[in-house]
Amino acid sequence: MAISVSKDLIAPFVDAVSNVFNTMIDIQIEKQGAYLLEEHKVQYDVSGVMGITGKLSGTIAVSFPKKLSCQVVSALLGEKLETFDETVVDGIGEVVNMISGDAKRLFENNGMGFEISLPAVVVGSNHKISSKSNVPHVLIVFQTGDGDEFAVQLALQVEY
Amino acid sequence: MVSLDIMVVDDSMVMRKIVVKTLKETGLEIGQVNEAKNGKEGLEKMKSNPPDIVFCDWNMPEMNGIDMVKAAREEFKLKDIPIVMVTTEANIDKIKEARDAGANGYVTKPFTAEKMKEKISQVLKRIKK
Repeated sequence: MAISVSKDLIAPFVDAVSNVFNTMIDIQIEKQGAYLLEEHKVQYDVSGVMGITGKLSGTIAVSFPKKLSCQVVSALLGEKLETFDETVVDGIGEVVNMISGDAKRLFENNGMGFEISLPAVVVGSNHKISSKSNVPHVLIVFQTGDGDEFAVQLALQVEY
Repeated sequence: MVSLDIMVVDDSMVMRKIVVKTLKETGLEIGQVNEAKNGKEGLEKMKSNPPDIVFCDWNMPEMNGIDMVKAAREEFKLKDIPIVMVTTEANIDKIKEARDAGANGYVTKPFTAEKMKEKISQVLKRIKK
């Protein structure tokens, strides 16, 4: 089921991903769709995760398959990384940091501020990011020009 | 052209590399490069080997960038070293907080070489005055 509600929550993250990739990661990407997590099977190898608190609270994760994570960090550094190692893991942490920070800027423009944590990175095939069960878990899927997929996973709630 | 000894303070090793790479792309003549993974280490390294300019993240464990800037401005040897914040914090209040703490410039992530070059030029012009 595609998400039609909460466009206000999804759009800033889509814009933030585009901005980070356009500015610093020379890999063509396109948003493929937004889904409820339980309705879209995901199999990723590495996720950068950040917690946020404030008017908007919850968790943000950016998840990649191993091969694409190496390509993303290679593009960031301007050097080819052949191995999935601590450099790639560190780089994915910085990617989620920049995406979350840029989304924060966009939310603040609309009067919805929040603070972000330091990034953490989860590594492991088919890992799952779990957070509060009473908030919708949304998956925004992006695709590269080569057909590889990555996703932004959101588990957010608005404090009224 | 005189080369500048730089220090890059960021808890991400990848971001430290990106900052150095981007600075080279701006055409800046870089001498010695020193790195630190948090504000505490940055402060210690600045004291033992004062750089010509510092590029510093905000959110870091142990000591964040703003606290490092404030501490540096309290030290006679470090108070005049230009410090440019390089951070995801883009809020106008944060920019003001950095300026009040004593930061000389501010670059928000993500950034291009053009943006970095523009900010460095502004900082170095102000220092010369």
